[in-house]
Parts: sequence; structure tokens; C-alpha cells
Amino acid sequence: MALSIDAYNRTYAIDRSMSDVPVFMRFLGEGRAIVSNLSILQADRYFHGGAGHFADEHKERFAIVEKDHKVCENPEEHSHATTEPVNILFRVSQEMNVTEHVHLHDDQVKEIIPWLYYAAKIDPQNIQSYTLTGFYLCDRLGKTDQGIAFLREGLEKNPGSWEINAELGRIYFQYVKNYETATRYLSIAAVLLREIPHDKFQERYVLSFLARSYEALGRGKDALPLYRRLNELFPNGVFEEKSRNFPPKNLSF
Amino acid sequence: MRAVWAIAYGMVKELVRKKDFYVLVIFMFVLLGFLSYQNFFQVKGISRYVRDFGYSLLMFFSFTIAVTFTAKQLPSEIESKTIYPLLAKPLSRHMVIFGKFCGGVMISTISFTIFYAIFTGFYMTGGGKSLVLLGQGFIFGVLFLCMVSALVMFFSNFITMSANVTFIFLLYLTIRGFSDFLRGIILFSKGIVATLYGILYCLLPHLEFFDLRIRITHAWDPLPMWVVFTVVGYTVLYCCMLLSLAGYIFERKRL
Repeated sequence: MALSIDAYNRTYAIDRSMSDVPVFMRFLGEGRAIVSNLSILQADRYFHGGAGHFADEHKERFAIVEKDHKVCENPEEHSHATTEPVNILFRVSQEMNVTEHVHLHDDQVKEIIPWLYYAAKIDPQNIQSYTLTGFYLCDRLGKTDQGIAFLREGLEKNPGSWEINAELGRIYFQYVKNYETATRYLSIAAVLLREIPHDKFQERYVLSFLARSYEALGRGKDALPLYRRLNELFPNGVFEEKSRNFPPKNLSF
Repeated sequence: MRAVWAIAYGMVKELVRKKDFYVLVIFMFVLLGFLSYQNFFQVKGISRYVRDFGYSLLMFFSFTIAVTFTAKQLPSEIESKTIYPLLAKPLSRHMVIFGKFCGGVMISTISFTIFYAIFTGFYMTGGGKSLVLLGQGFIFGVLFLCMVSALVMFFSNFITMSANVTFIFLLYLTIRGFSDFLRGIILFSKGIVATLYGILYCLLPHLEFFDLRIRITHAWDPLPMWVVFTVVGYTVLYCCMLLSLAGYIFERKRL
């Protein structure tokens, strides 16, 4: 049955081939995308010490995607709305629930890695699972080589993903200091991003690293149009000076 | 009490004879062993997901044993007519129900203890330290199995074994899924609606009280002692009420 499903996917759903998926997972069919996302949600839950999200926080995106990962300084701001308990069962129920708001920090972040790994294994088209894993391995756990290898694996399965290209470019820029490779990945990311609807924050993410990589290579001419574009997107910001001063005088990265 | 012990002991022998339990023990050991030795990007010391799987597995397996073994007691005895020699003994029907309940609790607790011992081994090797929390987890697990066995015994009076098993599984999932939702409704409603929902909330068996998975997995603080005592009291009261009702109904049942 798994082989039949795979043959069907190869024939009719070229983008969703399951040849990279373990055999037992192929039985899930398209449902594996849901299971994979559940696995990411579980990672997010782990990141919050098992308590999950509360109603008044992270309205726009998951904290797991945010780059600031510290123990919350004001946990009371995020705690569940407490209501006067009506009876003893309510009080017990309230006590049973974990209501303190925490983020995993330092080495503890490793606990979310299995869920991200499984999310990618279950659905290799789940791009977020690769970028998140890459981010945590490189930025939080200092496993740059493993992070790059995993992102490359993701890129093999999703060659059209600007996100994975951008993440690889960022890591080569920030950690490996291989600016040549960084510009290669980031240029591909910029081209791919142009072809799809996107917001200015996504564009800033790619172009700022690309511009800084060009600067690092001494290719100020290539960096300037990028800074000008960034200044158009975010006027009166940090890019204003760089888009005016050419060649840039104060390089800082 | 000797008669109650005899009934319960008969059920324990059944657990030993059947292969279900051994299969579950081996399965749990192998699965947790496999998960413990998984290597994720050469990152060492990842343990929470093993605890999470371990605790979920042991609760699920113990729950399954409690439900399936207890559910078949009365219906199969009535169907095979072995209930008559039992009732011919100087033994009230209340005691038969109590004996079956004790048997259900004993076999599920024995299984639970062995599963818990395996889990504790993996918990300790994974760097878990809170013995108080482990102790609370064990107590709450046993209480949970008492509650489940009492529920199954109660519903054995009305429905067949397979219907009983299905119903208890659905009840468990519903209560786990909607208990917080119901609590929210009560808190935000007023008047007669709030009272009715409040009564419903008090009558429902709160199986979610016994789940310490998140606390154990993520190493949260142990529960305050007043909560432990309240849950113990709640379980004892609820089980007594269910067993009394079950005995009363069984006494009036035509066999």
C-alpha cells in the first residue's frame, strides 16, 4: 500500500514525493504534514516548559521562531488569568495545571531537537522544521557543522526554498565566515524570494546578510544597491547611512 | 474479606496466565531503550522526550490493562453462568462487586508498578532527580487505576464488555479534552446555567487530576500536599459512591 501511495505521489503530486519518507510514515499520506506540524507544536510546547502558549502572548508568531530566547523576566505578565475558584475541584484543577511562563535557556534548548528532527523526517517538505533545527543547532548549541549538514539535506529535498538558502547563507556569514559561500546561498534566496509574494521583513532578512557578505568580500559596489533597497523598505533606519556613504566607512558585523 | 481476596486473587492469576502483560512490558522496555539511544546531531543529554514517551506509555498500558481485565469480569461470568456458584456462597452481591473491583485494582497496580519501575530506571539514567515527584506520580497512578476500575465495574452492570471498554476510552478522552473547557464555561456563565454546569462538573469523574506527565517530563515542582490529600479523598469518595451504586444495581438485577 505504501508503495502504491508513493507511486501515486510521484505521478500526480510531483512536489510531494514520499521517496525520502520512512516506509511506515508513508501510510499517513498527506496526513504526515499534519503530524509533522504537530511535532513542531510539541517542540514549541517543550520550549515553554510544557505549558504551551497563553492567550495574551505571541500573537503573531510562535516564540520558538523568535530570536530572543531568555527566561521571561516578568512571568506574572503571562500567567493564566486567575479566577476566584468556585469549589475545591476547581482549586485542584488550577493547581494541577502548570501556569508559570518559562522559556528554555542555554543548554536546555536541546530538549526540543528530537521533535524538530522528527518533524523533518515525517514531512521532508516541512521547511520550517529545517530552518528551526538549523537555527537551534548553530545559534544555541554550537553545532554548526551538524546544522549546515541538516540544512543542506533540507535543501536537497526542497531546492526551491528561499528560507533554507537564506538560513544557510546566514550561518556561513555569521559562523563559518565563508562570505563567498554565504553570498552564493543568499543570492539564490533573493532570487527565489522575488518570485513569490513576501513581506518587507523577509526581504530585509535576506538582503541585509547579502549586503554585509558583499561588504566583507570588499564588493562595495554590489552591496550599495542592496542597502538602497533596504533603506527604501525601512527609511530613516540603520541602512540610511550605509546607502548614502559609499564606500562604507564603518563596517560592523 | 477472605472471599473478596479469593476473587481478586483469581484475577491476578489471570493476569499472570495471559500474555498481554508480558508483551506490553517487553514493548515498553524496547521502545524506551531505542529512544534513549537515539542520537540527534551528536547532542548529548536529551532526556525529556524519553520521559514524556515513557510516562505516556506506562499510563496508557496500565489504563488498558485495568479497563480490559475489569470489563470482562461480570459479563463473562454471567454469560458462562459461573456467576451462580459464586453467588451460592455466603457472599453478598455487594461483596462480589467489591471483590472484582479489588481484583481490577490489584492487577492494574501490579502491572503499573512494573511499568513504573522500568520508567524510573530510564528517568534516573536520563538525569531525573525529583524522588518526591516520582512518588507523587506513583500515588496518582494507583489512584487513577482505582478510579478507572470503579468506573468500569459500575458500567459493567449495564453494557457488554466491548461497549464498556469503548465507552471508558471515549469518556477518558472526552474528560481530558473538555474538562478545562467546561470549567471555563462555568466561570463565565451565571445563574441557573452556571449551577447546572457546576453540578455536571462535580459529577464527572476528573480523570485529568491524575496526570503528572508535564510535571515529571519538564521537572516542575511537586504538587502541594493539600492537593495530594484532596485528590486521595476525592478518589476514595468517588470510588465508594460508584461501588455502592454498582452493588445496589447488581443486587436488584435479574440474572
